[in-house]
Amino acid sequence: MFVADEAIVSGFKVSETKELAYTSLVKKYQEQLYWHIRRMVVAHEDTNDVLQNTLIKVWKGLENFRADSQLFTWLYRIATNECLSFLAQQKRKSSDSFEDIAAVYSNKVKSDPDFDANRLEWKLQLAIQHLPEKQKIVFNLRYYDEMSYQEMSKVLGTSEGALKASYHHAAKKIEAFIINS
Amino acid sequence: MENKNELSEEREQDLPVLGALKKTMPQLVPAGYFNALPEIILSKVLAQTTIEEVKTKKVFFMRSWMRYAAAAVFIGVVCIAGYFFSVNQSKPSFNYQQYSNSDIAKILPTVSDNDLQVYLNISTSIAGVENTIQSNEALEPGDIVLDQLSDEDLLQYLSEQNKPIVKKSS
Repeated sequence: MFVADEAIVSGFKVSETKELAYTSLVKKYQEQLYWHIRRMVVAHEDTNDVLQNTLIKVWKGLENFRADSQLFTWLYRIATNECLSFLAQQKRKSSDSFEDIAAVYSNKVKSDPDFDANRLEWKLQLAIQHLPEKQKIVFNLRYYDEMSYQEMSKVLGTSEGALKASYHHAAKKIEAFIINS
Repeated sequence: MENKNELSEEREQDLPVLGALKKTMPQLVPAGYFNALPEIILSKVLAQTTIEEVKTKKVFFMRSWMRYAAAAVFIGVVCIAGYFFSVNQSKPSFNYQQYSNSDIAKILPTVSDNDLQVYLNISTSIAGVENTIQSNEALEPGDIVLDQLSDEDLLQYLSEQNKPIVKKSS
């Protein structure tokens, strides 16, 4: 049973319960955040680095967190920004084109010891790697996290209409990729 | 979260190819990763907080040290400026312009002989005899003026006084 968000936030603001509240938050959201990050950066080691940076930023910022947005929305926003920073850093290092970067991430998916090209869930993972970054995030948040467009617009700072259009385009590309593979 | 039916309808519409595929990720996570993570993160965060606190204290110390140093420099400058100001204030100012425009002929008769003598003594001792205009002693009425004497008279006078005569070679 997880601790309620309100109790985590208020507990964090008291020095005696700060560490306990933080540990409760990590336990409650670590898996969701981990998979959100891993869908973007693919490799476990990179996911671990990005997740740790995310949770360190959460520690630094939680004291000033205001309850006008939901805690998980705020956490997703930090994690998404960390993912985008990581991906931008990787791009700068490689200076490859979009196609090359898609190939790099596809190869990371294929390098998984359990990878099976005939299984639909792996084909879906490969298809996702061929999406542009923003579409990738939108698709993952909608498909896997089942996030509403309203919440997604708070996480990404984009209008709901634009997010719906983005998801629709992403879904069409994925379908085409799976059919053709 | 939106209604589950809405989401599945959207999925069926946009991604019929996925059919009834489960939304689980095929990748695996190292065993025990999620059990260990909260403790690892907490220790990392606390270590970082300690380092940042030490850094903050150092910065605060440096800032306070610099503040004291700046105050000391300011006080020093004020003291030195004050000293020079007070020294200049205590010196009598001499208005050269005023004296250069004075009429000496009018002022001189008002100065007593004694004061003039004191002035001459002081200026002689400072400037030296060679640079001072000596006041000639007044000639007595019976004194002989050298211009009125012939060379023979002068030679005779000197021989009487037993003084050696040195002639300049021409």
